[in-house]
Amino acid sequence: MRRTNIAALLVAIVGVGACTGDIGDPLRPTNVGGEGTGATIVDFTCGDPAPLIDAPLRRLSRRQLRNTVGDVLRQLMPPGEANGVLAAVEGELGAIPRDQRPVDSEQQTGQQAFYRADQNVGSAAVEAHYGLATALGEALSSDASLDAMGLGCLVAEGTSDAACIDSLVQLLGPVTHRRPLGDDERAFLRDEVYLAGDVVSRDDVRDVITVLFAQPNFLFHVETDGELTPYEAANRLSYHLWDSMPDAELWAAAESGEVLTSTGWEAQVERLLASERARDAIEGFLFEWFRFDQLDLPSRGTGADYEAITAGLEIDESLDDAVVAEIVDLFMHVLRSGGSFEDFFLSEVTPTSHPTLAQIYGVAPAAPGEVVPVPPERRSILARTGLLLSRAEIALPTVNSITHPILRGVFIRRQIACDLLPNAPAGAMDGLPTVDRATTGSREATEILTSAGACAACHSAINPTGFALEGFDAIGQVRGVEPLFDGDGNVTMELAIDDEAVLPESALPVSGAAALADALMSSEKAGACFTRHYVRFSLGRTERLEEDGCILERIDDAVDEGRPLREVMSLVLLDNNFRVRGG
Amino acid sequence: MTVRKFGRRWMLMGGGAAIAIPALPSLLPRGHRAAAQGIPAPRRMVVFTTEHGGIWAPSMYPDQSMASETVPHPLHTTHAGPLTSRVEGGDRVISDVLRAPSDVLTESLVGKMNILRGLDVPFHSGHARHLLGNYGRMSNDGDEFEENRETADQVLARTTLYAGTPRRRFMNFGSRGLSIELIDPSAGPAGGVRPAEEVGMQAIWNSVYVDVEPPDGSEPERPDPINAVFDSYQRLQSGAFGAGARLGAQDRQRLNRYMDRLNDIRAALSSSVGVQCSELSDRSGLPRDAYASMYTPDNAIAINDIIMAGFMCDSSRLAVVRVDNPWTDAMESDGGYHEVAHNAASLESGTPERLHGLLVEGKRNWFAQAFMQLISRLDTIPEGEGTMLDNTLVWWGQEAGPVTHHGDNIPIITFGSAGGRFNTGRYFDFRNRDVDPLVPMYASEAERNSNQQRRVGVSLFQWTTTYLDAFDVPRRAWQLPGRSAFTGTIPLQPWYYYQYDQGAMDRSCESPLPGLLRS
Repeated sequence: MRRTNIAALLVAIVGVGACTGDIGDPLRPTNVGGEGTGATIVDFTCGDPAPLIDAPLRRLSRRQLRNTVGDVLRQLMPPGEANGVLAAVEGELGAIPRDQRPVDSEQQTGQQAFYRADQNVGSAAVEAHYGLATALGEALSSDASLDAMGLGCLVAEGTSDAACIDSLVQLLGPVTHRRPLGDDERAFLRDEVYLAGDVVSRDDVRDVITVLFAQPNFLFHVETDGELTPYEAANRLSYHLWDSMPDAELWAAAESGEVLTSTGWEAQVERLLASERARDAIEGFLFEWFRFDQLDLPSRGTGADYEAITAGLEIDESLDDAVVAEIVDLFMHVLRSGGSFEDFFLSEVTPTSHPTLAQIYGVAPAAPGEVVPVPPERRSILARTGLLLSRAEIALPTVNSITHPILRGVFIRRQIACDLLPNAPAGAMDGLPTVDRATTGSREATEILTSAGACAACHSAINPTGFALEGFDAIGQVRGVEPLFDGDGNVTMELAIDDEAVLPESALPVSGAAALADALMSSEKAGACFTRHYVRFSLGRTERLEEDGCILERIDDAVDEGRPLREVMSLVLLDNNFRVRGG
Repeated sequence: MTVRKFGRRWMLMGGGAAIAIPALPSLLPRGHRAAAQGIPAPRRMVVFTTEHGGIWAPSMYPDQSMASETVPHPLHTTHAGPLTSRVEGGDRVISDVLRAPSDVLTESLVGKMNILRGLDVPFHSGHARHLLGNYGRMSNDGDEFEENRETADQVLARTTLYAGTPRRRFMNFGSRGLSIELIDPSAGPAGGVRPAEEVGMQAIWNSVYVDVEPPDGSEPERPDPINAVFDSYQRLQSGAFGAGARLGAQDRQRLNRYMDRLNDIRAALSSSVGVQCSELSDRSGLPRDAYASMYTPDNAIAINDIIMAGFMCDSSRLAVVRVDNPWTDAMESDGGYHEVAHNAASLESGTPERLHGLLVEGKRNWFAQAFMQLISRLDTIPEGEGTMLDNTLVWWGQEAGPVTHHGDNIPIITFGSAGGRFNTGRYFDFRNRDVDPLVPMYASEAERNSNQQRRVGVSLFQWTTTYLDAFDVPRRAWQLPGRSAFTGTIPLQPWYYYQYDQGAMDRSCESPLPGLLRS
């Protein structure tokens, strides 16, 4: 008799399941200032006059720092040599503390800001930054690196002159400051670091490189008050869309001042968005929005029942990556093909080339850069393994044959619909009835465990959302029945799938992921939730409904009108507020 | 996962290549011996915490008859007694879990050990990382990992543990919210808190290991470029780089914080180095990722190496280690550590005794092979009148008591006396033996039938008072307004299985646990 999974289900309930108290009608769509405490917002309002976006000094995120180091090196020397230096400092890059998702007390769990909003600089971070700069100083002052940078004059010990090290500063200064150096800055380096005399030692070279990578302009997005300079504007654009420094073309647009003109700016936005490099930042956005850090990894399954449901599939850790990559690639496909958010959300194609994921979907693997149609029941991203296995809070340590309607429901309510779900009260799992999972299916077990008393209020919305996805098994395969297993992986019972659900967004019951996605899309919740997450990501902080109302409204309207994703994503960048520094 | 068995040589020599020889007095260079005897020994603390708890009392503790002396306590009469052990085969045995080869867990080390029983979190704690005082929203399971105050280890590191600026204030091995630090120490608690930053093991090693080889004197010492880096921040902040570098007030504040940390590094670079440091050799190849599961059996010994290096070089005096590994392969077929720990307390599992046996096996393996390895090594380093262990407080706490998710009867095992401040070789039982046992709803039938020893105890946070007192941390550095205990007030839910007298529990935390500290 198999009973052990009940504990995992109970833990899930404790983590996210129940709620109590007066929560009004939290899942009812509304607009800002609409009726009903905590109701889900689907429309935003632009205040008058529109305030400037508050943008205090931000540091580079971990991802941005890594990308920037790579780009600096690639601008300084040929790719082979740049990769060699990158490998030499890989350990120091890895030591940079991971950014944390800042918790805003006004936001519920599961709707935190993005990693790039983390502005803390603790001792470990400062130490790691300095360690990285020191390592870059060592690596770039080697004979090979100096030669590769065209600074052979610094190689011969004891013969280098001040002009030669000035050339080094000329070369490294702009890329480490991301703008041209002023005379005062050059004077500082000369007088305080390398003390240019007749002879320059290798230690001078190493130290000046170290200082250039440790100084504030490299580690922070230093901007002046008032209107952005052309270089600051170029940096904003580049770090937003590429999570890295400007390339040569954008630098040239900054140098000429063209980036500050409307046409110049728009052209750069278009170019950067179309670039393959945009994928990295978009991946970061989707990874955090869909909480892929909390994915129940499909390869991490245990038990004879897991073996039974995955029989015939070749599963290894590459599947874990593939389920995430599918969503990112799909987004990029829609972006590039001129599709809308709706085309992404309700997608009828998959770009996956992973053979096992394709097998799970019942399609042939797509050729690189291509997409293939999926069966009707797989329509919408909610029917893809990545989202079926992603969790709003904590991933389960292992996967088996049991589906978790509560976890699926909470994920969609919090991350896809931006519904406000109160946290479970303390002791939510105390005194729960015993459920024998050897004879009880997921839907029935969920209903038994959550029907009592205080649980019912929130679970009346959470559970049906998860029930609508019961047609997919624990790794996202379509299933016609729900099998129950004994400890040896033998099927003891098969239960009919009931994926009909009554949702707060729909008067009529829906069945299946596609119908659930339709309901969320037509209620405008999905679009509004995307808008909030994208603005949050763009601003590097939690959105403020009043202050950021104009951008929110503009993007949300564009989403609702079905405008192309590229245009939607450009709106935040084309907004005048993005090009002016407030705060 | 493969659990490695470690032999005696491994126990004494260090796991990696870091420690070339055991630092016995006769092996120390003459100058270092003299220095070791002349300098007041620093005091240190190491905290290990293991996940889940779930070890039933008969497996965790010696029989209560060993603690037969009565010890008064404001809440109720408690008990204590000399801690004794027995030898079975090649092992010295205190309990099923506290068992190790007798040449590792020696009688002498038992004399430097304490067992604390009957320490309760007086409210619902769930999975909260409460052991060091992070009680963030403990009353709400949904937010159990949040933080809301600087934890006791960080208070210690910020106040009395160091005289100057250490090279590494705190060695954090995967604490994941167990340790909470102030975002801006100069602003105090008002500046907010965050989980203590984590970096990879190699980065910790790099910061605590000091190459003490003396310079050959042929070249004048070169100033570290960090001074120029500091100057560049200062110039930017002051506007010395021209009108193009005007910054807003918030920007200056952020740069200020960064400069404070940078200044710490500058100061640390000029701090003195521990006399034992020359016994170490540098090492590389340690894991660099802070975020993979750090505490694998392979890494465990390397973590001990790093702690030893931090102490021997006196680059750091504090370590917090979260042990998130079951330390046995036998749980994998039952769904892993998490599943086993929960199901060992569940009637639903059908086999709680068997699952509990796996937990015991894992904890025993870890105690004998990793925890005791550090204890043994600390005790081989001569320092002052005794050993490095004597000047250190090493303690092991668990996330929960006999039943996972439940914060009563959390076992605390200590070694060392923090420089003579602790009485040792004692078994303390702080439970109220005069009341009925607790019979919580999650206890398995087996646990209910075989373990009627779960009785209400005293506040776990009185242990916090005790060790902070031992390290002379002033109360004003950590007490909250109107509170004696380290924690704030977490209301008890009416459904909770034991209705603690929270006021009395709090007041009792004004004093250290009775019998532990030397007067």
